[in-house]
Amino acid sequence: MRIEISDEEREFRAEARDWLEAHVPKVHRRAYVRQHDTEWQRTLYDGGWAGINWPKEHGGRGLPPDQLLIWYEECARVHAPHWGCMATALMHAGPTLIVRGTEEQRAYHLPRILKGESVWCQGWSEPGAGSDLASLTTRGDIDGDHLVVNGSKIWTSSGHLADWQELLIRTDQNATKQKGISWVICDMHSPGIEVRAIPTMSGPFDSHFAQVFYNDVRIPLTNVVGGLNNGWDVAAATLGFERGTGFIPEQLHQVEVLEDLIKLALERHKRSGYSHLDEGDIMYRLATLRAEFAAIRALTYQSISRDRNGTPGSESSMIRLYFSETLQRLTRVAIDVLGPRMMELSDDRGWTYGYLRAFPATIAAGTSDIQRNIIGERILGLPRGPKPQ
Amino acid sequence: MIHLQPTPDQEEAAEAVASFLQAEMPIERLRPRGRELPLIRHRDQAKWAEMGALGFFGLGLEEDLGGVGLGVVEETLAFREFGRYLVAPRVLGSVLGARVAARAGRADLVEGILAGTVPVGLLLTLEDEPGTAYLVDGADAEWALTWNAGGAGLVDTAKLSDIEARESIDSTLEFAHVRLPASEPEIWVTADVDPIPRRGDLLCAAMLVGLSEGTRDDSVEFAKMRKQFNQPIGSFQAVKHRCADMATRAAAAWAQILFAVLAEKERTEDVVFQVTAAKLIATDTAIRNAQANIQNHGATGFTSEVEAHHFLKRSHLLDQVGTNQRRLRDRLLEQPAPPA
Repeated sequence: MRIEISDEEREFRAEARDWLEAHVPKVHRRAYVRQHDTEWQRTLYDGGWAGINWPKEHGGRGLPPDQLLIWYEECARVHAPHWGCMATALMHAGPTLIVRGTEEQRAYHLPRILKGESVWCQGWSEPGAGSDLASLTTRGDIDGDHLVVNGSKIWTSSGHLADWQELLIRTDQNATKQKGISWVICDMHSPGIEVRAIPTMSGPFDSHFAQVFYNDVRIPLTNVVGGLNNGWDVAAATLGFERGTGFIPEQLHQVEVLEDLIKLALERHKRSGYSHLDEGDIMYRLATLRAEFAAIRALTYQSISRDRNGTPGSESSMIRLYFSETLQRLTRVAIDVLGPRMMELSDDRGWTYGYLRAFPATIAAGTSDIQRNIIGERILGLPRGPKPQ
Repeated sequence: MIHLQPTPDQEEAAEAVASFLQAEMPIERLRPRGRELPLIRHRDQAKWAEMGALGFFGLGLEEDLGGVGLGVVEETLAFREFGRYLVAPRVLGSVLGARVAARAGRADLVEGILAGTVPVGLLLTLEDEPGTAYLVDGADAEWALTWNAGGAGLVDTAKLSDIEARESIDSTLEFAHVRLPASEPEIWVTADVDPIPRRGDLLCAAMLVGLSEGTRDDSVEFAKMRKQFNQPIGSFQAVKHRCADMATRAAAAWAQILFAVLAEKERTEDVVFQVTAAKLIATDTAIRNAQANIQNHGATGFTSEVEAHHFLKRSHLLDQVGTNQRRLRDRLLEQPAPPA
């Protein structure tokens, strides 16, 4: 229990700050536009900041969690662009190749990711396999030295922007659920792939969701990662890659949003003539949110402190659950502060957009209900639920 | 870098406290014996001198003032255990009372308070009835602790008047309505000399997290054991998810306490913000976890045959000791945003 700012940290912060101030785009540019996201990635690469959390031997910067936090704090300070459509490549596909890929797979893909030359998407969920991911049915049949893939994946972020996909398919129809799955690298430009955009509820600014159809898509067997039928294990290997740090940029951003909202609420109350009772309600919720976001920050520091001591915390599900539900309460207060103006979708940075955009937080990448199962069963040791028939 | 994990050395004192409480003051001591009202003061007072001899009341007080000479970190970790074991709230009186007496130069008092032989009750002042207060856990006490935003003090209980025993929702507490002396407390330490009120809020918050973890563990244990529909009720998501929420809230509250205690230790510029957030979130968590724990226990949960109700009542008491939730919210919004 101590605060200890080393010279090394001070120097690192100064270096990060100077570089970011010189290179962050002066005008805000919307994320999930391929050109915006890949250009920023290239800028990071040229400045030596690509793959900050990847090991050095694989072209990353290999930052320890402490410095990673400093980097994210400095990014938040100057409103640096988010990963956007580079997220899957940087936070998931790349790290998976690093731990489970072959030399050839790493040599080809990792530099392209770091330079912003290739965009990845995830191909896990299916229309019939959401929370119950292991029931996926998209199949890959071996034909010579290729897999022939048929089926469909859905709720794929950046599906229409991506060059590559981390695809989970069933390659053994007779094995038990988790045993017959393979993790393969799918070229999104292959013949037989069709991408259908799925607009989301947050309107015209979110067009990065898609369904992908596979019709006799041929994927070389050399694109299998971690061995045929080992896909479930490969997928699990990097789920904890972020160790809670992956959400830090979003957390820092939302603290800023909260502080802006407090200012807005105070200013609007001066003019609106609402009663003290109503003002009390808004202030009650804002004060509670301030405490909750302080706790989220504390949870993150605690998680990093544990990591540093070599005892990775099992609390990432807790951080995720707590953060996503707090975020939704925050965006809801904003709506109440705005009054009728909430109906106007004015721009992609507005409060209403934030409110709509917060709904996926408790659904994507493991619903809150699944997080609660994980906490209940893996952390608290409660018995598993009744086996499905 | 911010290191938010107590060191083994810092945890040592709390572990000693926990193992003593587990052996000597298990939660089951609160079960009613026949028709006897289990006044916690009577039960726990028997152990007070022993706790005093072990140094439990002076962990965070400097050695030259008679304390053990550890810091606010160790003291806070110990209060989490006091909360978990529902130790009589007069433990706040003993620990903070000794600090008040020491800062006020009353070495004569410090020794007895730390030894556990001079008990200190708690005063809850009644803002809607100026000049009066509830005296908690204090019928045998020569002194009673009081604090507000400006400072903390000890009131000579011989100077309290119109003492009238009242029933409390918490039957383990001794409870009286009293009139305060017209003059200021004879022993008073202003907050600028030593921010004892803030420390009081921090220690209350730690106790509240101890309560939250106590109800979490109580629920989890019960949900593994209790069977309905031929299954442990913990296998049902309705119960499992409630337990997961209890655990998540408790984890968040404890992390915030650690952040606040670090801010207190280092006297950072945002210490008021962090301690205020800590008590606010700890209070909310303790009350919600206590409510959920009653629900998880079904019909037995609202009987006095399990301890669930004690956790609820103690949470409400600690809300009112020091700064309560409503004032904490006001204070939190008055503070500048903490530096990133």
